[in-house]
Amino acid sequence: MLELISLSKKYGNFKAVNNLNLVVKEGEFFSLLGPSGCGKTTTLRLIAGFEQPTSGKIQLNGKDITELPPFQRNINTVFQHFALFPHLSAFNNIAFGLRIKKKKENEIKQQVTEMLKFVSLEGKSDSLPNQLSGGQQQRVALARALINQPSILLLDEPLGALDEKLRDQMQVELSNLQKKVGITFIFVTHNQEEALTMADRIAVMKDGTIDHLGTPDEIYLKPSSTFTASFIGNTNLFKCVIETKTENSLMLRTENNFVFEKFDASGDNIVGKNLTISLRPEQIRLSRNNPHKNENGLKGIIKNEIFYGDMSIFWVTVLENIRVAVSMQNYVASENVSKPFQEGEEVFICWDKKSGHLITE
Amino acid sequence: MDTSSQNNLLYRSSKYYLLLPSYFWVIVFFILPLILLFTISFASKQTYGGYEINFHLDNYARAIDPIYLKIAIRTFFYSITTTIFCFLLGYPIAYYISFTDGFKKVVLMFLILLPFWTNFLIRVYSWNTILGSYGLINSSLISLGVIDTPFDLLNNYISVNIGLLYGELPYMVLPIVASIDRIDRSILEASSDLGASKYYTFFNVTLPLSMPGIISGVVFVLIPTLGQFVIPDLLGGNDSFMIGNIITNQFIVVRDWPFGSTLSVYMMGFVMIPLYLYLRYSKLSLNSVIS
Ligand SMILES: Nc1ncnc2c1ncn2[C@@H]1O[C@H](COP(=O)(O)OP(=O)(O)OP(=O)(O)O)[C@@H](O)[C@H]1O
Ligand SMILES: [Mg+2]
Repeated sequence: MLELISLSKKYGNFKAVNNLNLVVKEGEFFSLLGPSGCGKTTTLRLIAGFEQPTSGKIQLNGKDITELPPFQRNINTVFQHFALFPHLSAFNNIAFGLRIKKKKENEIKQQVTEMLKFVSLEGKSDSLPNQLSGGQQQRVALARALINQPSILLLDEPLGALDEKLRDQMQVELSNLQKKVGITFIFVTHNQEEALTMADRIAVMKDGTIDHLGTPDEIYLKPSSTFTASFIGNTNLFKCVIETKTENSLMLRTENNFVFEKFDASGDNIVGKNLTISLRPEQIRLSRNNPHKNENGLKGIIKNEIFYGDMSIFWVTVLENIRVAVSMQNYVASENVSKPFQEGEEVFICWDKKSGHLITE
Repeated sequence: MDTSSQNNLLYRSSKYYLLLPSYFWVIVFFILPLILLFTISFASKQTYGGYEINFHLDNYARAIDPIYLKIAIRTFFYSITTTIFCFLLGYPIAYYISFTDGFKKVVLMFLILLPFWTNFLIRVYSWNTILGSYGLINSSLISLGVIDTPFDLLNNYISVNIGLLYGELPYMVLPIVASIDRIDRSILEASSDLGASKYYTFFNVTLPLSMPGIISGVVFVLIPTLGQFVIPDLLGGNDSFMIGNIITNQFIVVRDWPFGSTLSVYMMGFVMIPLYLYLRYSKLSLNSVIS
């Protein structure tokens, strides 16, 4: 178990990490997600020991490791650009940690060979890093770290340097591998899809602190802030105020005086409170007819369609100048596909009164 | 003929025209003098410094005299010790410079380069005021009461070695700084991350990866030192001549150009050995020298 307690790191007056509290459980695939410059790498460097925190503590399995130098922490890192030793073969790169521990040569040979097989690089043992492809270098970097059986493996955007195809493939390989070895992974990325598909839990970071921590579902469906809501996937955000309230429903008024109903039985909302509702593009549908009884509806005009192949995003202007994104699956049923809706068409946008997530800030 | 192939032809021939100045430079200033030197080495000396080209090997036979051999060995010895001392002193300096940053690094680099703005002869000569019997070192030691009679530091092998070390040190430091600068710092972090102490990282990562700089530094120091004559002239005694002194002597004092040329040809042959090794190794160094 890794605990970061009120961890801060200042560069001059700039707080790269700002009073960060975090507990990572043993064997967990944990992801630090956030926009560029939010302090992900700095947090990782503090955990690895390359940087000393300005204040705060780091505990590993109950032991304070804040002051320990990197080489005395049972933590290994896969660097963003792999940082393989350019003068050593794949074999010797992987053997590096074992050589430091003064393992016997035949033991090293056996373990490294096993590790090479584990990451499917059997034939590449004598290749130098610059003779390997990006994906192969990535796996050498992984093997080099894993062979030391660390308590925690830190990965700083390890897939950032790979092309999209290889990245998809490595995502699957990485999460399978993590399950197999059972080592805690802390995985840094600014790619939300990567975090959603691989991680058990995600910490969304903003300005050096954690904005929202939760499972991928929670973060996507019930973000605690507008920042997380808009950072993870696309969403439509509307500021509203609670107009009236019944036992299991609220009437909300937007800034431009559109009033709609939202079912909410939580009971912790009072009349007059300011809220933001987040409606995902896939929670809204387009219709030429009036909305159903359980739906809210708004008349609008389709301004653009953005075609993604399997689906399209329609940008619809409602209430004169509010732009709403609506996604729609593209069913290619016959050879001559006709688009379901045309740009410039007048439509209703409809959403279920149960849909939408309320954010209080 | 269509325009594109015309352009292509124009382009291809113009490439060679553009190279002409550099060819001219190399031929006039390097190849021709070398041919001249080589030719004169087979000539005979005439009175009053002239020579007659009559192609014989007498000069080459004469040069294998033990007197010259002894000086050649001394030259070689000086060059080796200078190179070793330059490395032992230069590597830590280079390491230190490379791992400082910001303004301090600029200042340190500037200090390394600063002496080049003063004439070399003057800089070497000024060592007299440091090493002499009444120089800085001896007078301070005497006034401190450490010694009564001054050390003999000048006009012997000590002063020549100090002078050579002083003169050649920057040529060792600069390429090593460049090669350490080129090492990605995350590689050093990776080493520490994998459990390596500072020493382990230095001997297994930093030192091997700075090998190209070390090899360049060794060549930049070794070869010029083999041809050095100013420092033994200014700081040496009559038992610290180097082969460079003999050669300048032949040309300027004795006015025996043919024999001077012969000695130069021998010298060049000898210099070719480290140069050859350098070219071999500098190609290999990045890949396989270490592993
Ligand atoms: N050595 C340093 N000196 C000064 N400022 C720094 C230093 N390292 C990082 N910072 C600053 O700290 C902030 C956080 O940097 P960090 O590298 O942790 O970002 P990140 O979240 O990893 O971003 P990215 O996704 O772009 O890698 C940035 O604004 C950066 O400019
Ligand atoms: Mg980063």
